[in-house]
Amino acid sequence: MTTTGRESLDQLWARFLAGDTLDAAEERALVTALERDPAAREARLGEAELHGLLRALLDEGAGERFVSEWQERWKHEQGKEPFVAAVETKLRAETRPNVPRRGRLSFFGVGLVIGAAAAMLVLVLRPRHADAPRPEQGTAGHAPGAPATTAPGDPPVADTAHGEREVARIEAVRGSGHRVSGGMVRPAAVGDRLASGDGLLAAADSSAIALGLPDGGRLRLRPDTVVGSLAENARSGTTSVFLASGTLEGDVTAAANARPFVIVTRHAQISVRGAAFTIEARARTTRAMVARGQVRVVADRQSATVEAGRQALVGDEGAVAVTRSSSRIASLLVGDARGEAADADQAIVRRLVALGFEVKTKAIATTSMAEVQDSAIVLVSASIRTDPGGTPPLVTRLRDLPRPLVTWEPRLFASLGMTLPGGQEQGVAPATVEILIKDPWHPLSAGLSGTVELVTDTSDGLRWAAPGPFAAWAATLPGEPTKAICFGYDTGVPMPGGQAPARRVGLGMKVTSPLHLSEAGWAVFEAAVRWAANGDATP
Amino acid sequence: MTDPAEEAALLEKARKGSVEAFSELVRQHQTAVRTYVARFVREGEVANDVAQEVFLTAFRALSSFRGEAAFRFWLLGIARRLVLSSLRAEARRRTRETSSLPGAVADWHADLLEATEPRASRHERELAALGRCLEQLPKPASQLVSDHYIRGRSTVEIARQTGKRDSAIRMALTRLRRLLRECMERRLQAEGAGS
Repeated sequence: MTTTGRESLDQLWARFLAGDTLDAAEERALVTALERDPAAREARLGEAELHGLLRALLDEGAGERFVSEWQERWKHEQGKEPFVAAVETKLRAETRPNVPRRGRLSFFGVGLVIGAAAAMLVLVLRPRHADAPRPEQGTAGHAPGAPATTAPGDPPVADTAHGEREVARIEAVRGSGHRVSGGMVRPAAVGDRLASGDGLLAAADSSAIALGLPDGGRLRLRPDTVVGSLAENARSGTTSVFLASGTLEGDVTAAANARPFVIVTRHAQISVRGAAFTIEARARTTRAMVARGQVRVVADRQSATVEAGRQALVGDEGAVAVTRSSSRIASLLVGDARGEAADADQAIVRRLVALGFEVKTKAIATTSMAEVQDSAIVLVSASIRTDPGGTPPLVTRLRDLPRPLVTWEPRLFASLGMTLPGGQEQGVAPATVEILIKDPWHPLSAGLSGTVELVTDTSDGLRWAAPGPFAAWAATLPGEPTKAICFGYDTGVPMPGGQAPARRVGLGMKVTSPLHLSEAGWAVFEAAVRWAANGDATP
Repeated sequence: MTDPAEEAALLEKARKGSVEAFSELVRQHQTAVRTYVARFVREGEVANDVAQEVFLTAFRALSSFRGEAAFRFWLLGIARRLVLSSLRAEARRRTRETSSLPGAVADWHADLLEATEPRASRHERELAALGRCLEQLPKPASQLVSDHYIRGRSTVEIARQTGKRDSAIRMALTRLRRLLRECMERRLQAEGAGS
């Protein structure tokens, strides 16, 4: 059927809103027509909004049902450990289609959900990667579902506590790590043996889990990482992990008896043999960075071999973009800091490491532009003011650096183009510790709202600035709406000193403030780093 | 309309952990949150899940709410974030399946939501305008709204009942929604001009 006529477009859309199932050709036709005509698309979306609004508004009795259900859910939430509740929430969001409705997951059901999510995604992805080169066959002759056996040449492996073949073993745990095995969630412990189907979770603080593979390979889950499941495929002879979210580092051996290793994410399948790599699985992208050897990245539309020193970025659209790898290097530019100022810089380093960055601390006086060009993010510490001789020349050049930049030294804002020069554009609020979140919806606000304490020591005070009209104002001094404490410019946005070549964030703190940041203060700092570095609206 | 003093008292109790007090806040604000979510999230069950999550998140994070903005706007801010997350997840899931239209619609909605400023107060005003527009509908249109949206009858059922073709019912609903939208726009513009 043709859908070029207005009438047929209306009919198709009306059927869609009425809940009819359109066939694939009709859906394609409608999508194509609406993609070509933004005005028609906007009108249809407006109609869909009104349709949803009417359904919710006129649903009799929905209000009381909703309140009862909320109470039931809250009761359920209270019966669990906070960590498990958070994992459930995360999984519910990421696997909604296959997760039972109404949040009635049992405490011990989390593992099953993870397994189901992994299985679902592996199954969904597999046919789409049918053109992917298959890993070499380590074992052969097994019928699907047959128990795994050790093939000649396979490394010797032990069994898990449940008598299942060991896929990996936990070698180190930092902070809060959990293991999901047989539907049970337990704290991860050194020496735990993991079998096919087991999952792992490293909590969002500075937690991490290190794994050893039977063939000598190593894996490391960085903070805030969920491995949905580990699996050993007897037919293909591969070991695979489903990386649901977060960052997985690995060093997989190329020894003759090593098993090919596959990482599956929502966007891609990454095959590894003899490589050191880092895979980041985020909501909208998967990034594969290779430090040694090479990996093969297969997505919906494209595939690519990624060599050492390069990275592949895969988005929702299934395309693979290979570029020179800037890795996750954060360049922290510091002054000749001593005492508390040096301690404050170290606190920043620790926090960046916890965020998953490899931090390179550089003295700004002796650093060139070339040395920071490939950084994922550049941070300019307030400690650079401790250097004699005024503003270092590099600062002015950093204004044009096409990499994300965060600084907490307001006296540099004008040099970096983030404010106009002049004394009226910045100042000090002595003995002030609180900020007012101006835009709770912006990722820079770290999910905070209202007035929050940024630092715990009144002697620090806060530094304010007056950024340009195109800045995102995340926080101001309470009662001082023109004095920004945290603000950012998106890439390409006009700043007072020129167009922002990449994201820029300004925080108004003293050189020693990192030693006295409150929990909310660190949340604001982390949000600034994430927003700047990720170029992602989601904090 | 929520009484500010009563709401402040409920918030104070809820901050101290009173589930009863927060349940009352859920009761008072559920319409705003449910309707906000339902505007963008097409499937009713999913929309309900997201709306529930809004209140669960809010209760967990209540200590961070200091009252500078209205509580309802704070809730709608949380709703906006969760809706965006849900739409993107839906788009991803649908892209992996064969059907493309629901995924595309979810993606377009998410793009629209991200590109526009948070409009919690506009949602409130639109709800009020819609209520008044519904009251003014002529009887046949009002009957259609009642059958489809209140009684939950499908277009096929209504067609059978009225002896019309279901395509005619679907198009009547389309025209009705356009009328309501135009009516809302006019009212909002009039409000804007009058303020």
